[in-house]
Order: sequence, then C-alpha cells, then structure tokens
Amino acid sequence: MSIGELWRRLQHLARRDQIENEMEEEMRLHLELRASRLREEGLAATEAVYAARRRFGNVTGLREQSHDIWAFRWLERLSADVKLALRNSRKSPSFTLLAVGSLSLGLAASTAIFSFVNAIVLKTLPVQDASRLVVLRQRNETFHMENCCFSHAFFREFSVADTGLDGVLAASSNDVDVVDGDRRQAVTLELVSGNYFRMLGVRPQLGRLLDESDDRVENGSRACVISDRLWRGMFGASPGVVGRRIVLEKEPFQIVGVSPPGFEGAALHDRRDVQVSTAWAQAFYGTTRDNFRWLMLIGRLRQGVPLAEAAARIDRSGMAIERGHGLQVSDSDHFLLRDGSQGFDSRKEKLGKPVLLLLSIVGLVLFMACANLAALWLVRSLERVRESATRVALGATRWAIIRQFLTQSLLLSAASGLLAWWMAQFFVAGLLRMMDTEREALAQHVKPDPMVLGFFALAVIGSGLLFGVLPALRAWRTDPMPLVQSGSIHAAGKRAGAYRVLIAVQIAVSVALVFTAGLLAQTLKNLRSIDLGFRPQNVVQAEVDLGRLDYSEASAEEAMRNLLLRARSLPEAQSASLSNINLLTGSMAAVVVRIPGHADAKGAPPTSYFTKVSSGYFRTMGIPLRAGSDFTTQTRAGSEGEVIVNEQFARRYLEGDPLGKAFTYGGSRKVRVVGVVGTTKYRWLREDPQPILYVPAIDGAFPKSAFLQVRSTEPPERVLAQLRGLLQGTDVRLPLDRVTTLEAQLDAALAAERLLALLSTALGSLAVALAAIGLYGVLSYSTARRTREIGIRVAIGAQRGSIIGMVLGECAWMVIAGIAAGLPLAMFSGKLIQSQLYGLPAADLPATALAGCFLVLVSACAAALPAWRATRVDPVSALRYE
Amino acid sequence: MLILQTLARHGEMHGFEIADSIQQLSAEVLQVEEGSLYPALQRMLLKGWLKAEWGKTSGNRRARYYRLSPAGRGRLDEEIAQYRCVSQAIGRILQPV
Repeated sequence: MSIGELWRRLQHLARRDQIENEMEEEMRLHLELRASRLREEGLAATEAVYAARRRFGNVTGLREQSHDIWAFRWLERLSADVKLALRNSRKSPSFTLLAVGSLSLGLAASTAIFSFVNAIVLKTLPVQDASRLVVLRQRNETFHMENCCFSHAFFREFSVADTGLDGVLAASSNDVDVVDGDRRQAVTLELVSGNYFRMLGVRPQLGRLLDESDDRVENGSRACVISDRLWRGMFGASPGVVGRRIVLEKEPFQIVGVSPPGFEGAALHDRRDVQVSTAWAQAFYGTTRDNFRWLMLIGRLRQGVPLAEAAARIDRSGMAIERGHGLQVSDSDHFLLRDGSQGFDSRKEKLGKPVLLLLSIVGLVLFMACANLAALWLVRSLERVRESATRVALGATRWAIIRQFLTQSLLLSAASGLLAWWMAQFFVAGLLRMMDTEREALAQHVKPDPMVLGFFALAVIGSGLLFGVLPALRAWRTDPMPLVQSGSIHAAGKRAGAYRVLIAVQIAVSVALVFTAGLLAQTLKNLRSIDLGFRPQNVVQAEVDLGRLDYSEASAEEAMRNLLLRARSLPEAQSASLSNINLLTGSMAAVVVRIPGHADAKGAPPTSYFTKVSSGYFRTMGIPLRAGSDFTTQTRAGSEGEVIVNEQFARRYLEGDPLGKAFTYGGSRKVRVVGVVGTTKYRWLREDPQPILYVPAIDGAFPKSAFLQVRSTEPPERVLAQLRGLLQGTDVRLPLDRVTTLEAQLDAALAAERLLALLSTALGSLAVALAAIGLYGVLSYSTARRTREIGIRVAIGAQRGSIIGMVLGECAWMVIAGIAAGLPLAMFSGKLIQSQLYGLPAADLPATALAGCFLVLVSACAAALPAWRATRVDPVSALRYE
Repeated sequence: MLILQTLARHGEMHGFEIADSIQQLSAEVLQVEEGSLYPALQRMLLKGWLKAEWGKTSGNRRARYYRLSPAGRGRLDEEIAQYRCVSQAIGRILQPV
C-alpha cells in the first residue's frame, strides 16, 4: 500500500458517514436517470424503475463492496471484537474483577522479581564483549577457601605467560574519601593496571583515561579518572573538571578524565567512582605493590579457545610463576576461572539462586492464575455454548469466534498489565528494602530497562493467550447441530472436562508451592534458632576506621584507646570492647598454627580463624569463659604472648588440659593458652564449629580500624545515639551509618533467607487462594447447571446427604487427582531447592503429606458452600423453570 | 481500461454518463450490471487514478464528476500498450493459414 493510498484511506475513515451518503446519492441519481431514459424509450413509469434496478444490480451489496475497498477491514473487525469483549466483561463483573485482580498481582510480582533476576543474573558489565571475561581465582588447600588476590609481580609475569587469554587486567578496591577543597565524599576507589580501560574497551567522555604510562613507575603519575556519577554529583558536570586537583587518602591527584555514563568500575554490583593506577599501593595499603597479594585479575578468553583448555594452560603457567617466586604451592592449589561478565564482587553467586527460585515460584503462580481463569471461563462458556452455536449456525466463521475469545482475554490481560506495571514499582521498592545490605548494590540495576520491558510484554501477552486459548478452542469445537435439531444444547457440556483437569493441575501446583514455602520458612526458623555461641541482644557495634583518616600509628592508637574508655563509661554501658573481626559477615582472618603432632596427611599445618580483641570482649559479646581467664588491661604482648582459644580449637588441637599449653602461630609467634571460651559462629551462620584463636589487642597492638562493641542494660536505641555522639566527639569525619545493633546485623545476614521464606509463603498462600476460588467457582457453576437434575432427585426423594455427596464427589475427583500429582511434584521441588535449605531433609514425606492435607482441608471449605446451596434447591421452582 | 479510456476521451463525466457511454460505444455488446461501475470507480479513486468533484448535471441535479489524474493517464497508457501487445499476439496466432 503506497503512502498516498494510506492517506486517502485515512481521510475516508475520518469522513466515513459523509462518503457513505454521497455514494448513496450517486447511485440514486444513476437509477433515476436510467429510469427516465427507459421511460423515454416507452416503458411504463413503475416498470421503468424496476428495469433500472435490474440493470443496476444489488444496490446494498454494491455499496458494501465499495465501502470495503476503502475501509481497514481488520481495524473495524477489531473494534467490533473489542466492543463485544467490553460488553461481555461488563456483564460478568465478578469474573472480570477476579481476572484483573489475580492477573495484575501475578504480573506485578513476576515483573518485580524479574527486575531482580535481570539485575543479579542477566546484566553484564557495560564494557566491550563482557561475556568473554573471566575472573581468576586460586584454590587454597590449607585454609579450604578460594584465593581472590595476587601480587603485582605475579600479575606482570602472568599477563605475558601462555594463558589462552587475550589480555589480563588487575584491580583492587578500597573505600576512601575524595577531598575537594573543604568538601569530602566517601567513595570506592579502584586501583587499576595500565591496560584496564583499553582492555575493557571503555572510552572517555571527557579528557583521557589511564594507560600503561600511568602505571609504569611506583608513585609516579598522579592521574585519576572519575565516574560520570561523581562528575555530576560532586563537580556539577563541569567541563573544567579535567586538570582539577583532588585529595585521596592524603595524596593529591589530578583528574585527567571522566569515564562514560554507566561505567562504574569493573564490578557491576559495586560502585567504583575513582580509578588510579596500581602504582599507588603504598599510599592506600602501606606497602609496595609487589609485596602482597591484593590484586584481583580479570582475563578475556581468546576467541576459539575453550574454557577448559584456557583453565589448564592458566593452571600450568600460574603454578610455574608462583614457584618461581619461591612460594610454597601445593599441587592441589589449582587456578580457577570464574564467570567475569559481571566483573568483581558479583552478587550472582550469592543471590542468583534465590531470585531464580523466586522467579520460578512466581511464574508458577502466574501460570496458576491463568489456569484458574481458563477453568472458570470454560465453565461459563458452557452456559454460553448456545450463543456460540447460534453464531456458528448463522455463519460466523470459527476463526471469528476464536478471535472474539482471544480479544477478550488479551483485553483483560492488557488491563491487568497496566495495573501491574504500576504495582510492580512498589513491589520492587519493597523487595529492595528487604534486601537490606544489598540494597545499595542493586538499587541502580533494578530500574526498568528494555529487558524488563520485554519480559513484561511477553508475560502480559502470554498470560492473555494462555487463559483465552482453551475456552476459544472449546468454542471452536462448538457443533451447532444439537441446537438446530432440538433447541437444547445441554448435552454438549457433558464432554467438556478440560476445566476439571485445570483445577486438578492448580491443586497439584499448590501442594508443591505450599510445601516449598513450608521448607523455606522452616529453614529460616532453623537458622534463627542456631546457637550462635554469643548473645547479640542489647549489643551495639560501631565500625571505627581511623585508617582512612590522617592518623599516625601513635595517634590512632591513642584515639582508639580513648574511645574504648569513653564507651565503657557511658551510663548505660555494662561493658565495651574492641575487635578486628565483624562476626557473621563473611569477614575473616586466619593463621597457620604449629602444634607438635598436628599436621594433615600431606604434612600441611593446621589452621585457625583469628581475632584480635581487647579485654572485655567475651563479656560484651556474651561468650562464656569455660576455663582460665580473660585478658586484662595489664596483659602485655611479650615474647611468650597470652592467647585464648575456643573449645573447638582446644578439642581439635590441644589434648588434655589446654590451659598453659604453648604453641606457635603465624610465622613464629610463641604463645601460651590462658583461657578457653565457648565456640561461636565466625564467618557464616551455616558453618560447622571452627577453631578460633583470640589474641589480645592491648597496648601497641590496637588496630587502626576496629569494631567497637557496647553491651547495655537499656534498649539499644539510646546507646546507638550515644555511641554516634562518641564517634562525633572523636572525629567529626567518622561515618555514622556504620553504627548498628548486632541483631540488626544478623537480620541483614539472613536477608536472602527471610526474603525467600516470606515471599514463598505469600505466593504459596496466593496459589492456595486461587485454587480455592477456582474450585469454588467451578462447583458453583456446575451445581447451578444441574439445578434441574437436583430438583428432580429431591422431588423423587433424594436425601440431603446424597445431594451433598454428589457435589463433593465431583469435587473429590479433582482434589484427589491434584494431590496425587502434587505429592511427587512437591518432593521434586524440595530436591530442587535443597541448596537453599538448612537443617531439613528435602524430601520429607510427613511434611509433604501435611501440605496435601492442608489442600484437602482448603478444598473441602471451598466445596462446602456450593454443596450447601445444592441442598437448598427447591424442587418445585427448579422444575417449573423449564 | 474502458473507464479510463472513456474519461480520457470525454474529460469530466458522472457515473451514469460513463456507463451509458461505454454501453453505446460498445454497441450494447458489453452488458454488465451497471452498478458494478461504482465499486470500480471507488477502487480507482483509492489508487489515485481518478479525481472526483461534485457538480451540477444538465437537469440541475447534484452529481459527482470524475476525471483522469496524471497517474490515471499513465496507467491508461500502460494498459493500452499491454492490450495492444496481447491483441497483436492473438492476432498473429489467429492469422488465416
């Protein structure tokens, strides 16, 4: 269709009525002129009119034909379908309400959760070809963990070794303050290798980025690159920012460029706003870059080199380099390649599985909502089968009937979609709040993007088609013959059992969802009731990081000691202490201990977790002292220092009475055990008891950055405020948002589990509610249809019991089939989510049976009302109706 | 083609005149339903081959007058060329032996 044609068509559409009239006028003129001509030829007046008509043909048909030439046929058909759909929806408000309600809830929840799946699993770094990036790690046999970091010397040799990688970059991040004149802002700084920007394919939006020349000499080039976000936030997007001097960690730097919008370092779920070269390790870590393992490495897989081959080559080269450096490397300390498409510190590993699990649950619920609507609609369309049959008999094409059903279902899903899109924003905000500590990392990534929009559109259209297609097919099979023959078409309904299957499917899915929700809720409960080994109640903790501020060793120690003293003298404080480890956040320190007679089969020495504590730590944390004594303020770090070990340490490494036993740890520090304390959880809630070694952080050993704990008698709110005041009094530059109660911190550690438990319970309940509504609806309709039959039965003497039995019998068929299918489904889903569970068998038969019983109960309730109503059928009015 | 040719010869005409003219010129050989002229006219309007304007007949009745547009003239030439081509071919085939 050419443009001119389209334009003429549109004009026609706009003045359709006028054109119709003109056409009619034109044809009338023709007829009259022909008639008068015929009269002139001698025909009688009336005869002439008829003859003219005969010669002209079918006036109405011709007019319609002309009309069809112009019109957008499909558009008119669509508008007719939409009008009919709207009228149908208005005529059955309860169905429309249920459809819009359940679909919009389902669509909103799935869109919200998909936003998180997108942010956590699907998104990649905004760099060139992120899918081929890999993160290099190394297994550490001694400490049973993965090493993330390597020295700069290793990096230099590794980047030219035979690795099957197209390039390797190194980076490390550090929290610092950006100081510009008297303004100060906390940011995450990234120290990067010279090839960093080139390898990632990032181009500057202003100035230049860092390159190899900036990274050559230690403490040489003072160039730094800032992110678009920092440029806008702190420097008002001023183009004069290039060349500006800022101070990072006491060192002046010069801004040489601004990275493009969206790029915030080589870590998708982190915000790294400033990049300087690795040549500045001394300034930020206090030692030269070759001296310690601090750099994480990202490589780019060469095209055509399979991952396994690259991994083998990397393992060989990496080991050779480390051995060349004189490091002791065990043969099982393999180098590993991890997915690097999201850069460093990706949350995919930790949150990927939970959000995917949630997405599948919410997907099932959405599917159930569709099945539910399809079932209800099927039952209803049995009542309308007469209408369909009439339409077919009158010559409606089957396609026209299907189209009408699908128009209505798509219209409903589109309306629900509008509502859902609006609701989804609130769901996302709510989910973010529940994500707690991950909120900051994810907030910028959960905003709607084309991916989310695409998913949403697909979900809306998919659910519309899904619940419309079965009723449409049912109508398509409508056979008009019975209607034509007998005027009654009730018989046609008997064959339509599809809705029963749909209800059974819903019950099966509900059993599985209820069971899953139960498992996840029980997991959360189990995790909550784990014996931590310490009492977090009424303990407030502050992170004090003087290392970031311009303190010398001596002044930091002085400030730390004063802070501890003042915390102890707070009116509400029972006790206060310092430590260098924040429990249950994954942070850790570990040392090798050398105890005669203890080494594993391969001769590797045993290891232990390690915490530096001030005196009073055990009292503050509520860790019981089992033997010996706590450190005192007089404890001195002498040649043979004093240490305290936990029970697990004593049990595993020290035979007999542990008190007084001597051993060495780290390099060759000789220590003697003065006390034994209860075993606490250390890194994670789910870990097995681990040996922990406590060394005193007293005199000369105060760390520059530490955690300050205060136990109080009062509710922690007041102590929180007082502690903030204390920090302000110590140094106004200390951040106040790192003061929190231990309980809040533990809650944050369980955020993912709580999210899972809560959402799966909510979605499970929604599923059960939907199944109940579906069952109720289907039974109501079918008993209503059987009113006459029931009337006859009552009239010939059926008892109430048998009527109830009849209705419940119909229901029981669906419920039993549903539960029979649901139990194995539940067991299977339990197996699927096993990795998310704690302290529970995945396939617990009694628990599954419980979920089944619950569904039976719910189904019975849903069936009760229709059954009761059936018994109230008055035989006289039921029979008179026909 | 017939309609286009008729309009090309006579300039402006209304529906009845066109039908009449075609019938007379073909000496009543081509007898079709006169009404089918109108959908055909509409199709040509849509294609842009014709222009239509309302005017008065000799009997002072309102009527829609059609005339060829430049595009319509082009189309007519095309059709005539095509027709000649076909009719020559048929003519050759039917030559007396």
